[in-house]
Amino acid sequence: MDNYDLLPCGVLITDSHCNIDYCNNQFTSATCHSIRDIMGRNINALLTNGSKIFFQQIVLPSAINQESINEVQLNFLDANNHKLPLVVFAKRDPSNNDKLFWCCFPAIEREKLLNSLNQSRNQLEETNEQLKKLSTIDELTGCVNRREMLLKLRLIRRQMERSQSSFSLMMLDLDFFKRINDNHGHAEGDYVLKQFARLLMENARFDDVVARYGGEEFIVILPKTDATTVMIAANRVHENMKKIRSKAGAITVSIGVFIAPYDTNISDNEIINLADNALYASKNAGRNQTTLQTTATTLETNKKHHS
Amino acid sequence: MLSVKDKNNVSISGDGEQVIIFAHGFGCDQNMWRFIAPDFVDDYKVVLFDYTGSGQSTITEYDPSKYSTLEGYAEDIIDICQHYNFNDAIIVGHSVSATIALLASLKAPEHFSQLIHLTPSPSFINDPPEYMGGFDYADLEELLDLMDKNYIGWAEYLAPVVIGAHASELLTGELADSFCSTDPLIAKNFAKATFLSNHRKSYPKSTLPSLIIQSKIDSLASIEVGQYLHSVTPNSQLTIIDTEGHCPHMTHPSVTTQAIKHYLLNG
Repeated sequence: MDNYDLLPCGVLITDSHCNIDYCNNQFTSATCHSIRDIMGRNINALLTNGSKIFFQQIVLPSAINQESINEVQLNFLDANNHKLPLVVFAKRDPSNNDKLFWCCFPAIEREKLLNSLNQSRNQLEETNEQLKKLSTIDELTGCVNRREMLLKLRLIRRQMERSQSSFSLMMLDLDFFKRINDNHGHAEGDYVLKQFARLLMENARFDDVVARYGGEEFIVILPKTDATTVMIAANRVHENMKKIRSKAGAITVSIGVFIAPYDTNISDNEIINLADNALYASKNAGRNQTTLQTTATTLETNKKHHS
Repeated sequence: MLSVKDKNNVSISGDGEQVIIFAHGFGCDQNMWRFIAPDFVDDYKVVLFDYTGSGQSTITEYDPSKYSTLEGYAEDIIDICQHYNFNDAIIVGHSVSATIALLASLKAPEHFSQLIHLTPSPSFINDPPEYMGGFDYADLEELLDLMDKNYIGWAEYLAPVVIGAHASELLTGELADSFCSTDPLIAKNFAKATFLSNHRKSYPKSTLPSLIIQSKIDSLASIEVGQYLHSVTPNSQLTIIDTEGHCPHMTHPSVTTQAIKHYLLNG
C-alpha cells in the first residue's frame, strides 16, 4: 500500500509511449484487472476499439504536443470485457523522460448525463428541422414561401455578384384563377395550384428557387440565366400547362420576367416590381404569354405606359 | 476574396527547390509535423497547411456538404497546388490524408510527382474474408458517440455550420488557439468521412510512384492493411518501421524521417 492507493481516483504512470510502469489499487479494482495483467501494457490495449481511434488520433498527439490532457472521456474494457467509461486527465513531465501521469475517474454518471444531453440535443435539432420546414415551405403547394424566397433572393444576388453572372426573376400568375374558385369551389382552385406548383418544381434546375408569392402568384428565381435561356424555361412552362387537369378546362399562365445583371444596384423589392410590371404587360396583352424586362430603364417606359 | 494561404493557413519554409507537402490526418492540424518538418527544410521547400475546418484555417469557408467526403478535402490540396503553381510536389499524407492526397493526385496529377503514405488505411471497416480494416461498424459508431461526449456542442453552436451558406455572416468566432481544438460538428463530419468511407477501389488507380510506411504495431492500420495496399497499388513500395502507434511522426520522428528520406534518395 502506497500513498497513491489512498487517492480517490485511478492512477497510472506510463512512459512517453503510454506503456504502464505503475498503477494504483483504485485503477485495478475499478477495472477488475490484476496488477500483473496491467504492468508493462500499453494504455491503448485496455481500451475499446472506438476509444482506440480517439486515443491514437487525438489524445496521444495532444499529450505529446502539450503538457497535459484535461477531461477526456475514454471507454476502457474491464477484465470481463465490459465497457467502463472513465474520464482521464494526464500530465507530462519533461524533466522525467516525458513520463505521463494519469488520473482516471469513473464516468458512469457523467455518461448517463451526456447521453441524455445528447438525446435532447438531437431532439432539439430534429424539432428545429421540422420548424424550419414549417416556416419556409408553403403548406398547400410545397414550394418555398414568400419569406424564404426573399432570403434566397438575397443569397443568389450575392452569389451572382461573385460569379459575375446575370439571373432572372420570373413572376407567374394563373389566368382567370378567380373564375375557377367562383365556379368550381376552392377545393378545385387548390387542386389547380398544387398541380401548377408541382409542374414548376419538376421543371426547375437544382439551384432554381420556386416560391408561392401569394394567392395564385408564383415566383421562380433562375440563377445564371439570360434572355435566351430564361425564354426557353418560360416557354416550357406555357407548354406544360396543358398537363394541368381541371373541371374549369384548359388553364393558362401569364409570365413576367426581369433579367438582373450581376452588378445591378436596385433593391430586391424593385426587382420583384420589375417582374410584376412585366407580368402585367403580359396580362394586358391578352394573357397566356411572357414579357421580358431586361433593364430597369425599359421598365420606366412600361410603367408610364400602364399608368 | 480570401486567399488560399489564409483559408488553409499555408506556411512555406525551406531552401530547396523540390516541394514537399505534409498533410495532417484526422483530429489535429499541421502541428503534428513539427518534429519532422525541420529535418526537411535544408533540402526541400516544405509546405504545411490545415484543412478547412481544422487548426487555424478559416472556419467560415467550411462547407458541411463539401467536407462530408474525402474528395472535398482533396480540393483543399489541389487549391494550394494551383495557387502556388506546384507541378512536381512530393506529398506526405498521414492516415486518412494518404487517401486524400491520392484522390488529389488522381484528380489533378499534374501537380504531383510522388506520394508518401504514412500509416495509411483505405478503409477502417472489416470486410471479411478479403479485407480486414480493423474495425466493425459498431466500433465506429462508438467513436462517433465518444466524440459527441468529448465535444459537447449545443444547437446554437451547431446552427451556423448546419445552415452552411449563412455561415459567413453568423460565425465570427474562431477556434481556440490550441492543438486539436475543433468545432464539434466539423470534427464529427471529418470523422464520418474518414472512418465510414471505403477507398479500396481508389488505390489501384494510383499513377505515381508511392511509398507506404506502416508502423510495426498500430491498432488503427495494421501491417496487413499495409500489405494489402502495397499489393493493390501500382508502383508502390512498402516499408515497415519499428514503431508502435498510429502517429510515428510524433512518437518516433527520427525513424519516420529516415524512412521518408531513404525512399526519396534511393527510390
